[in-house]
Amino acid sequence: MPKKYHIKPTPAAPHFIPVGRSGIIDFEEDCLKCTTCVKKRCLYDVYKNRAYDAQTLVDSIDHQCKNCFSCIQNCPRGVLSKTINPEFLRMGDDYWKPDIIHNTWFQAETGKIPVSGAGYRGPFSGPGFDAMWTDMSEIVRPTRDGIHGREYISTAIDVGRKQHHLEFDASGRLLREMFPLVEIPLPVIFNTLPFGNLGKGILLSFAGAARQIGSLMYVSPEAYGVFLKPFKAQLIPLLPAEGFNPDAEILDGVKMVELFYVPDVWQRVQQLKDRDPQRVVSIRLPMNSEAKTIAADLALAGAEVIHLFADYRGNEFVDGDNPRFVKEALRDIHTHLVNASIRDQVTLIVSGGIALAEHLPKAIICGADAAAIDLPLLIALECRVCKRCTAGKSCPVKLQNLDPEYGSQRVVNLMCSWWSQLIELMGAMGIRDVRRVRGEVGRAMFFEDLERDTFGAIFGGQKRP
Amino acid sequence: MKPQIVIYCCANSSAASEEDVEKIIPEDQAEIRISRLPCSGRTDVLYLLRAIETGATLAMIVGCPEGQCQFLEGNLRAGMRVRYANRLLSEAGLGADRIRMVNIAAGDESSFAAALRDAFTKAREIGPWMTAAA
Repeated sequence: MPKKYHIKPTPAAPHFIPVGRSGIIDFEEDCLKCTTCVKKRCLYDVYKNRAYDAQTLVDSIDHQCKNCFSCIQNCPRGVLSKTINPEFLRMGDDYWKPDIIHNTWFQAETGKIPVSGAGYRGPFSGPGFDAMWTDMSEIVRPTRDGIHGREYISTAIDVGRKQHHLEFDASGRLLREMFPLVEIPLPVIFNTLPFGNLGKGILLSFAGAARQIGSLMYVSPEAYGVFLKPFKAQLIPLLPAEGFNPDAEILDGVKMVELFYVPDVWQRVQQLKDRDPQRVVSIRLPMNSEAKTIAADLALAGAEVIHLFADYRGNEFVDGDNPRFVKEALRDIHTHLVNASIRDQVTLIVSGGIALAEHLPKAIICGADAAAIDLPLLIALECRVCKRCTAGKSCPVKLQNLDPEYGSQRVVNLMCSWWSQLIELMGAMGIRDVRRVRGEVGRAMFFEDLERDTFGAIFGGQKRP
Repeated sequence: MKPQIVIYCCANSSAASEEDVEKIIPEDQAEIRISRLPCSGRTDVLYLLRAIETGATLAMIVGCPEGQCQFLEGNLRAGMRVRYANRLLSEAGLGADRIRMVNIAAGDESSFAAALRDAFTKAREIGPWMTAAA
């Protein structure tokens, strides 16, 4: 049996005090100076360890507080009160919400699964991936114990084209030539960043983490430098649509390369295959109204990998106010390829809007083989998604001076947490191989479908059949 | 040298953003940082002194008008802390006018702009404390 895949986390404390959710207000003038001070009795020592960063204007108490309310309830004079920190609420945007950023920071620091001890009191459905519930099937089938190591749950996938079937001659020799494949132990690839690429420290962090967990990372030729040469085995050069050069130096020694889709992309693929037939060539296709047809054409023509990308908030690129979310667009494309009997031969990578660990299996259930992630990696490096860098302003957490070793560890920790959550989910589903999760929509419930089936006949303007 | 101004702004009062501030005082004239707080009563004397210690020319707390604080008396306590912090600065020889408190109602942008311009004028007048102390 091959050695078990494992990601080892090492705690990596943040360099800057994180913006916390809590906002404690202290009317200290009323303090009696009594001997039963709740600040001294804090279980987590948040008052004792309190620090204030006058550069970023962040107080550590907001981040360290665990919301036990012990100090608020037990102070004899009631000098403390608690609310939500407005700086926390302002982080990110309406997709990259403060809770996502905070969760990612926790995972990058500890490598552990974030647990909400106070239960979930939020809504049961929401936009995007929140309208999709994975079905924990342990009620009807035995679970698999991958977390504690009693069983092996594989999260490895093969990136590349697969044969439709195998043919052998009379002596049992394989008649068909096998296509090159790149095996990655986790269905996650590091994508190029939509913003915030503030220097080589970030790229080295991603490359170091990719090497440690055995994954791959995309790199554009303009970002590539000699500093990335030692990481060639991890790199997927992303060749631009303009100025395509099949002999670029960046292509030497890489296992996989990706091209932006252009109408004559097939000629470019052939040029790359002529130079090195063992190199997997992927095509990056924007998700839009034509993506379904183009993806099917490419797959029928022999494409090895198709990378479907949405924008960083997970919306497809269409004119108008109602772009589909990545999950709907992906399901549509996957189903189209299944109906065309070509889905098993091609590898689909999806990117855009993959923000949390749960989004990874959800994207796979919707039909992707792997996901390429971008902003979660940057958030792991303490990014606050303030987008000041997009306006040419200074980064509040000085990402331009990032130490690559520290950055790598934070990304490895994040991936460890995502990997743990993936096998936890697969264990509950009773599935032992992530390749079997792909397209398993029977293991998920979609709010829109349930709503339509339940209330469509009453409120949907349709007559009951 | 550009004056550095730190604004502690109650989120229920005039919760200005960086963009709003830049429209009032352009970025090339002053370095202005904003910290939005749940209440002006959240401001600690330590916040104010640390801001001045780390190079701010002037610190300003923006709180709600008297009687309108959602925490009942947070703005009054912030005012007391400003006076206390200024007394400490004065004793240290840095003057008693580096920290100020203004009370502005939510949505009163003109008052906020006027208060910020006034603070900017004052900051240019008094200059950085490191130079003044030297």
